[in-house]
Amino acid sequence: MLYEITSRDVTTKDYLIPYAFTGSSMGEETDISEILERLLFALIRQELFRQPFFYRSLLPSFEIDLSSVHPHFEPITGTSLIEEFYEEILPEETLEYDIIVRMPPRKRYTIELEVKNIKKAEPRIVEPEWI
Amino acid sequence: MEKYPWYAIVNGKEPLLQGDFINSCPVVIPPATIESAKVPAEVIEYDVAILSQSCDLEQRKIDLVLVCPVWSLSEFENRSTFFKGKSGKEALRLGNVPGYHLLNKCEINGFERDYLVVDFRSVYSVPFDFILALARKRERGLRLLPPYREHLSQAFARFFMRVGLPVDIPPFR
Repeated sequence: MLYEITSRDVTTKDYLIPYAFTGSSMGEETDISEILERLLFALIRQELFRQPFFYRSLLPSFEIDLSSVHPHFEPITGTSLIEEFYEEILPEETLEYDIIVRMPPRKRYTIELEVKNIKKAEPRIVEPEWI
Repeated sequence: MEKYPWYAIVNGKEPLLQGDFINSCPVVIPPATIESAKVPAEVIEYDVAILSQSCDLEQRKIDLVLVCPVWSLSEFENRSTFFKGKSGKEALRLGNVPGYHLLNKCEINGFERDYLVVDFRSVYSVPFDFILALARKRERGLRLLPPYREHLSQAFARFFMRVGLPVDIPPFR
């Protein structure tokens, strides 16, 4: 029989034990900590569903089976689901649209210009201040 | 949201800054050739936003002020089916339509504006003294505030610096 980790085997409170309920009472001590751990996992799952869409979408990255026959909770190896997620979301948001809308001016009229003189332009030099 | 307002009202005597709006700014379009002392010229008027850098304006380091037309989103929608739809407006909001930049609504009393679209494809240079005189004439005007002003400037820079490649790398499928 594989040794199951319980909260007594870890030294930090922040480390969550992937819960694996044995479903059997033979030779196993069904103590209060196991029940609490199961409750804690159920609560975490509920909390995840309240998270924004992005975080919720990462849920499929975990294989969760709480059935009594073969319960397990583990990250799915590989990144295919995450890649699919990005492929679904990103293209529309990163697409550039080269659209041109020709707007008419607010007002249009003709005037008569009097040309006073025509001369060759001279450069207007703005010297940098740090020199 | 009030902590970071988009707009402020400025009086006409204040110095011009980037992001100032000038209504009915005339732009003179000269004829193709000037062959006599008197020539007909077309004048077109736009509501414009100033794009020149504030420091250049404040220190009078430029003779010509760069401006570009500004439209209300509803006017824009009326001329384009793309922008009439949700996806077009969303693309505009996300900054995915080069050449156009979306500004927020203005809800200041007396200066209420719909969402505004700045058109970078039609930029004009207007003589500094001319636009200054135009600004002085109005008692009060609308000004885009930082960081939205810098965001506008960045969008213009992004539009202007685009490079179209003759042969692009094909997409990964």
